[in-house]
Amino acid sequence: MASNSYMGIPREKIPWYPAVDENACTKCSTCLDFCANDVFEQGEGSVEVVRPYNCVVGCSSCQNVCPSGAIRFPDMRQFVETLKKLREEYRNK
Amino acid sequence: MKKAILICTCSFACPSMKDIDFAELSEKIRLEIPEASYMVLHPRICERNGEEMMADLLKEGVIYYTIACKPEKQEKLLRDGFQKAGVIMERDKNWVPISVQFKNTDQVFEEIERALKNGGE
Ligand code: SF4
Ligand code: SF4
Ligand code: SF4
Repeated sequence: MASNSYMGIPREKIPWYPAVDENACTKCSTCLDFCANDVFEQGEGSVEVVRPYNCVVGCSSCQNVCPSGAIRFPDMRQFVETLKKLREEYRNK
Repeated sequence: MKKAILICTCSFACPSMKDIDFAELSEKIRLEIPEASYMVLHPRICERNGEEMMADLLKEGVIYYTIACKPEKQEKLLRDGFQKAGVIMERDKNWVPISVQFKNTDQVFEEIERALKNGGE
């Protein structure tokens, strides 16, 4: 029920997921352990976002637990506008 | 002590909760667990809107069963809400976290039922 659409919009059309700053990431694994949805995996230089569409739309809690401030999310206000447009687009589909 | 249930649906969008039908779960709780004085269903109790709700709602003398992500995660994420309400969050005293991750509706319901029926008076 939950994983592949959000408010009637296919999940993979929604640009919400974390971005990891590879220069800031210390590969401490905190985010890996914290997120239940296998969004991250340990990569070469830093943790990598390997399953972005597993990220819960609107969740940004891993940002708060990263001790290095290496995780970023889209700006919420802009994102709400994007979501409004997507809803219009998918409303009648 | 009075018992209340706070269900967090994680925006109805968390892959780890995909097997839970929150509509069915909340009706089953309302109908079959009279031990709970009331229940609140919120999409994201760990963020501002949820914290404001907690600030208005939480009181001393009530046990809050929070139905959400892993207990360790809840412990980090819900502390601010309790603090805003001026209630000290004490696990298994006034706060009982129940994880719904990777479970289905029946499994979650049974766990909640067990916790409320066995939990201290
Ligand atoms: S918590 Fe931050 S620093 Fe640690 S692995 Fe994740 S992104 Fe890197
Ligand atoms: S925002 Fe939430 S769901 Fe998304 S990667 Fe971070 S912890 Fe996982
Ligand atoms: S408290 Fe947990 S289950 Fe609820 S929205 Fe936050 S991360 Fe999701």
